[in-house]
Amino acid sequence: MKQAILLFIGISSITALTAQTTISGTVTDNKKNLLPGANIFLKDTYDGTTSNVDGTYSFITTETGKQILSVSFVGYESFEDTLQLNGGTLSVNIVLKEAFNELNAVVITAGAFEASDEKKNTILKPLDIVTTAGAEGDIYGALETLPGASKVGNDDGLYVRGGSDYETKTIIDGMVVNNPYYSTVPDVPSRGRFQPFMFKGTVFSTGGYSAEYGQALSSAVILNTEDMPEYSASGLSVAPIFLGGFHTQKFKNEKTALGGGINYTNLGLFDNVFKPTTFDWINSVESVDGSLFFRQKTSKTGILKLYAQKESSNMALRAPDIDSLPATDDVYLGNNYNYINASWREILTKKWGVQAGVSYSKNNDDILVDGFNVGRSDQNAQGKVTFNNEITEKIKLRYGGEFQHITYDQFAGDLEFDATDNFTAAFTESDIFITNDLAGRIGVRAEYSEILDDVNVAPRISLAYKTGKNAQVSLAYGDFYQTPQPNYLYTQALYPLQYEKATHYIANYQYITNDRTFRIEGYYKTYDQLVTLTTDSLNPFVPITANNGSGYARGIDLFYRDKKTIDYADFWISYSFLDTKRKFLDYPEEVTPTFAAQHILSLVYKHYFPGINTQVSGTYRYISGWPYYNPNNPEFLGDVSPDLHNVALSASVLQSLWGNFTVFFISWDNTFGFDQIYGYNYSADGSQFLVNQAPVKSTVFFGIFMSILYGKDKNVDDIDIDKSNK
Amino acid sequence: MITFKFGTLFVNKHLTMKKILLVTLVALTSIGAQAQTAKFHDGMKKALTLMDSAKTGDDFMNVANSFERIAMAEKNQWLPYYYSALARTTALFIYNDVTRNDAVLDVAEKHAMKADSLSPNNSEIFVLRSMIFGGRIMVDPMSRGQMYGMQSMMLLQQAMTADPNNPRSYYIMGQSLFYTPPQFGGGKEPGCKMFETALQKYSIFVPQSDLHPNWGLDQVNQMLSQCSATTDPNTGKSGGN
Repeated sequence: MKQAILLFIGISSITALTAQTTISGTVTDNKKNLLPGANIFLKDTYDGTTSNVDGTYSFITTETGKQILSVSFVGYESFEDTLQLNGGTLSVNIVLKEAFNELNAVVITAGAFEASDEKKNTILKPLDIVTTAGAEGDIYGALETLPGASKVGNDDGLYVRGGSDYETKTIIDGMVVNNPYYSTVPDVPSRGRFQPFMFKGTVFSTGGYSAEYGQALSSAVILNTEDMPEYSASGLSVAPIFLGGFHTQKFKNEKTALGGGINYTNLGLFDNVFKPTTFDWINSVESVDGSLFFRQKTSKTGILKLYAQKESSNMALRAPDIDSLPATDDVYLGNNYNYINASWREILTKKWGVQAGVSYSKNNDDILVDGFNVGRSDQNAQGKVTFNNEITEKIKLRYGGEFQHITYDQFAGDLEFDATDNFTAAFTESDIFITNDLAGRIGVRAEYSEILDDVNVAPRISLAYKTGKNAQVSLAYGDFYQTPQPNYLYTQALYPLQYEKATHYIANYQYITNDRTFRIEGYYKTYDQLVTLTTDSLNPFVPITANNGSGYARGIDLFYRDKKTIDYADFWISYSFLDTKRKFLDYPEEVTPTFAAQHILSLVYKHYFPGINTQVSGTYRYISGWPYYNPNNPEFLGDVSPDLHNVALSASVLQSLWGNFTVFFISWDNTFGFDQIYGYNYSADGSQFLVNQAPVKSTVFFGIFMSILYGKDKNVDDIDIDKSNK
Repeated sequence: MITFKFGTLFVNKHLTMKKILLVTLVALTSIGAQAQTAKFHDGMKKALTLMDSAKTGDDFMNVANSFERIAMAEKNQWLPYYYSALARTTALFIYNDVTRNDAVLDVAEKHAMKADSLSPNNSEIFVLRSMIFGGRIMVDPMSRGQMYGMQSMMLLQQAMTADPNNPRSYYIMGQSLFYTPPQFGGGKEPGCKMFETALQKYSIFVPQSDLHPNWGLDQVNQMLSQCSATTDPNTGKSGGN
């Protein structure tokens, strides 16, 4: 009994007679920077404190014996140290190690512009595509305001860093898309087929891109479609030349979404007001397109996506025939386009992920020139599988393979040429974070084309080093191959061709904060095995194709974007300097090609006026002119078109109309009516020429877009009830 | 030696000793448990007092750390996680430093989700999570506004469903409406109407304990005084640019 009482007293006295220990010191990182705001405490007790502005800390504890001192701080690995507390003072200086965090870590950026809504700082957001004046809601139009990229004259396609339009490929959910632009005929400008809002993210690579992608010597436009929509929505677009609507239904199970849209375009009214100067319309462009989409969550982390698009359009025009002026040619184009893409993505385990997809496209262009059939068609069926394997937090491996079955047909009157290719590719690539500040990406891609009966192996290497909190330098090197353009493959049996090749060297510095981006990139590219054409005197209609071309491109791209300096304003400046020469097609020697302008400057300015809920945007573009062919000049491509200036303005007014979010917009291209001369087309004998210019100097476009969003619990069945409540 | 002695004692007075030991043990544990509850209560109370007097962003971060320490020691109490996340979110609204918002909010979100797992379907935690989305929007209103705004609103709806009498869900809903342009369904009028509902809810609200959330009334009164003033919130600087 006595013992028990003693024991009891003993226990109580321990609590009463506790000694106090003062623990103090400093908190720094491994570069000796003081860290204020770290949480320092004894594990499993309440005792602790927060480090001061000068990185020091001090706290008193009544705990005794063996205790664990623990430190937690955002962005740093947690720290633990075992202490023996016996009263008195203890000095503990804490050094925290920076945690590996992909959001803060260096990003491999050489060559790439990323546009997405993800947390990461990005250069262009998807919304920028539709709010940039002059882009007219076209993805490629917006990309053109970035350095290194340009459209050329009335041609469709994007020309990147001295490369031809065929050297830029569009990739949707990992798979190459043939014919990403609306079909057109020479002199009539075109635009991208796919709507910007379909995509959650865009990576525009102007060189040095991942081994996952191939068949593009210059550039990849990588588009990733939206996953599950956040809510059900409907939309309606009305313009004098356009009528469109869509509906997306997200089902109550939150796992399924289904949607579709239909658009009708008739440029008739527009063409009556803005009459083209270079040709006459027989029938204005008229087109109908429909799309369907489906999303199904296959598990917590898996999603199946399906997208299908069908289009039909036609146009007819009368254009002067340069070789027999004043005679004219009647040109008719009828286009049918079908596209379907299905992909599935799943995280298999903590370390493994998979993405698989199939796509099919079929494009038919019926083209008649004065009744003579020069139509063409192509089909592409492909499948692709990619695996991601996170070996450690700092080493990530990706590999995969793809297969494409491609057929091309070309008509010339009653003659038909065709070519078929079975194309296989495999790639592997590893992202390695050596430290938080230094990362490398090493990859290799191998391709086999049946029609070329040739294998290529392309290594790709990038390095990125973070030089400051917001700054980094990157380097990239890579080999790129592509199968020659289909029109040169028809004679493959006669004059066999191999891959065309480019090698990229890129160095880049960028400084990005949330509100400002500065980026400078220098590059050097070499071209080899480009397709050349020589005339066969025995058969002048079938040129001899060979891979005797070569060339180089070098230049500097500058980009600055600022959302901070001017209140309510966001602007960016792009400048490209390009020096390039190449020998290809029928070029007799290495010269600057017809699609290369030495200087290109873009200025984009957007201003939001909150009082009137209006965004006004203006884009200025300067191009120093492209070389063009003049048979009277002994120097091949010795003439350069005049300087080109263009100012485009647009305004969007956001309004609530019957409770729905509505945008009224108006855009005015080439507001000040500058001459839009892209060069001159000469007759073969050099005696006649026509100005190659924009068919319409200045255009105005306006319309209304209304969207109806349905909240989480509002399904279609409830909409009527909802409206009656308003 | 001691063991031996004890052993002897044990053999000799077997029954009595066992009883005493048992009683002592029970007494000690219950004292311990009471001490633990009192310690939690005192610790929380102290941190809540600090929170009441906090003014700067740093003050709120310090308080958040205090709550985090309690949370880590207790592990199964939702309140310290709740307050840690709340103090962090508040600090961020004061700092409004877009470059570090996401990092701070990541911790706040982690703690809010911990609180949520300890106390599921809790109206207060739904409100907190909605506020965290509000903070996310501040980083980049133009591109995040639509998506996060929707999620923020959904959480408030969940908060109202979980407890229709939680005044804070009405207050935060009012805030969202007040600062949303009328084109997007917000504006001064619907915002102020919501503040009045919130005020009503506050007048009948009784917190579960002195540690449970009981904040927001002052802010609602402040907003209501703005409502009676003539300024339009939407002519103020919008975060969009």
